[in-house]
Amino acid sequence: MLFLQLVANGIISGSVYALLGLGFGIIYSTTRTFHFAHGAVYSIAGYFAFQLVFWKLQFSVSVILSIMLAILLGIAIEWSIYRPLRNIGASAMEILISSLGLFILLQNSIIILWRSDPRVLPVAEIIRRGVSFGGIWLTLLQIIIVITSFILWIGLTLFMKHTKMGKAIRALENDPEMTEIVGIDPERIRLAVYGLGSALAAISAILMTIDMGIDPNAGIMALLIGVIAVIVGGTGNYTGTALAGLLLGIAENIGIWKIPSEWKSSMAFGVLVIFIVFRPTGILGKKA
Amino acid sequence: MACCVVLAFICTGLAHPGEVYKMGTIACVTGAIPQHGEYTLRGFELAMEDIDGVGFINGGRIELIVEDGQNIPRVALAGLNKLINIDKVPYFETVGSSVVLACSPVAESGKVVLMNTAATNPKIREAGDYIFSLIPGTASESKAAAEFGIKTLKAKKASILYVNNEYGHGARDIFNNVFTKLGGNVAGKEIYDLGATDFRTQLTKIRAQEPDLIYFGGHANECGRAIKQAKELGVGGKWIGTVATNAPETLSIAGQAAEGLIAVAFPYDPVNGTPKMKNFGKRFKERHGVLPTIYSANSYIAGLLCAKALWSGARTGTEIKDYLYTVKDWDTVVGRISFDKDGMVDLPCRYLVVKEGKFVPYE
Repeated sequence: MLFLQLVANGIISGSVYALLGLGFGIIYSTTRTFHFAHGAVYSIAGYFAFQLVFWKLQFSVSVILSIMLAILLGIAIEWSIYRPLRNIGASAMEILISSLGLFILLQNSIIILWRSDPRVLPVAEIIRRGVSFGGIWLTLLQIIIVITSFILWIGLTLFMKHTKMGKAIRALENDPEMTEIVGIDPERIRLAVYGLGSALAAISAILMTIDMGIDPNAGIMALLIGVIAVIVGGTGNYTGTALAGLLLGIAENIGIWKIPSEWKSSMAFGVLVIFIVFRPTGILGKKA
Repeated sequence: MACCVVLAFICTGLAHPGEVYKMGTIACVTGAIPQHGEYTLRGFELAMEDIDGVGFINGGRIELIVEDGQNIPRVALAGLNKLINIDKVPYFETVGSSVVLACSPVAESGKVVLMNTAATNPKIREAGDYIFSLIPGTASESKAAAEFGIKTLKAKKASILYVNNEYGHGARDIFNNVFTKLGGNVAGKEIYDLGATDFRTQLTKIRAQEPDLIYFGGHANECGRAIKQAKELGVGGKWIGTVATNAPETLSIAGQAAEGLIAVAFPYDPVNGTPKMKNFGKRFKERHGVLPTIYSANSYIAGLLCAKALWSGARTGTEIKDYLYTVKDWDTVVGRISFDKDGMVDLPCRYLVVKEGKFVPYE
């Protein structure tokens, strides 16, 4: 029973990791920009949702507004920082450093605005109440988290395969020059992926703010997990990224079944090292 | 205010015209436990108001220099080097067992007084002559938790959930030793990273251990999350936490799940304590909307202690250190304090329990 509970815990954590990976992955694989500030977008969405609920706005309205804010923030970062830097010929490293600086600035702004107290989004107690399913304890919230992640993963896959925008994103991902030649505006596509990635970050942040609460440091951990999921899943492979997120969650939980709990956070990095050494093309990638 | 009058009396005629005296704090303003930074700075804010209210004659004043240590030893050490070599402070405050133990040798060799307001690792007692603590060591509070578990709660089997730093390790060792010595059985010791948010794996293992009592050796934000997730996972047993868990964050994060949580506490009670404690609690609450934790109270005292030493004529770290060893039975906002030969204060323990969303004395 302990094993099954650990697997269930792993699937719950892994669902969120999958979302984090998808959010970061769509931005990175399309723009090749290491969007460090993605972690700050994540935190701000969580705090903003908390603030709106605190101001007595309807819960659903607060969630929608927070996702919209995250989309606008993501787009604003690309439009006002990354694009001007690219236009003056900044290198990938210079853009990364600017993104890191922006992350630190936004993270500290959160501390100034909301102080450092952790915040939890209040929801009906019944959603949080643990119920035993044959010895495996789950809450309604956890079931909602898993279902939401699954729906978003399927939705993103369909969007990328069957919509014009999705195809344009994949085109930019595969060949930026050719994309421009066939008349697709890459700048517009970049704005769209920052918006989409930020929306996914906001949804995972809101789910986590309900489940575990958010604090100013939550963004960096979310970013790290997202990055590992993308590397393990294979850059540009969204199914791989989602599966990698799940794998990380399960590995973290099962891994410390027999070894001391202090190794829990090392598990994700352990999985990363194994993949870099033995399968650098990712979980579903062809052998290099 | 009475305190200010006493301090004003002490300071008469001792300061130099227009001089600026510096003291420092290495607070964890950012990092994994930023709420501790707030506790510190809010305490110092009130202390500085009181110190400025008294003032030095001829316009002398005390300046507080804040460094962000992030509760990470190497970051705190960089801050300490700046305080010692650039700002030339003779006295600084800090928190966090790992940070205090890392900073102690540097403070000791630099002859700078380190005033610890929150760290409780037992090794701090032997950290050096210049190292002072306004809070008793884990030996006191973890021992009290283990004794309470066996004698009052009649627990036979305990599990320990503790943070992976010097504070958590100290709490684990003392609780484990005392609990087993008194005839109890420690079924498991589960560790987590500082600032962790997901405790489900550790709690699943604890649930399988079927303890009567869970000892939590960590901080308030972590405790709030752990106890909430424990309820969701159906983990049985009573919870008893360290002094650090007696803070508003535990209640705000855990919500109803915190009901029944027992926390070890010192005599400090900003609601029903001595007039000084109540006055401090009222003043703090008016300013920040929450009651002050013992760490804010200790930071307030740390600020006043430095001022007292300077007002007495002490200027160097060595002179301040010598002055502090003479502090005996001083009536403060946490009760009467004296520093023993190791620079530690000793305070008796009491027990609080969460009832209807508040910490109240355990009866």
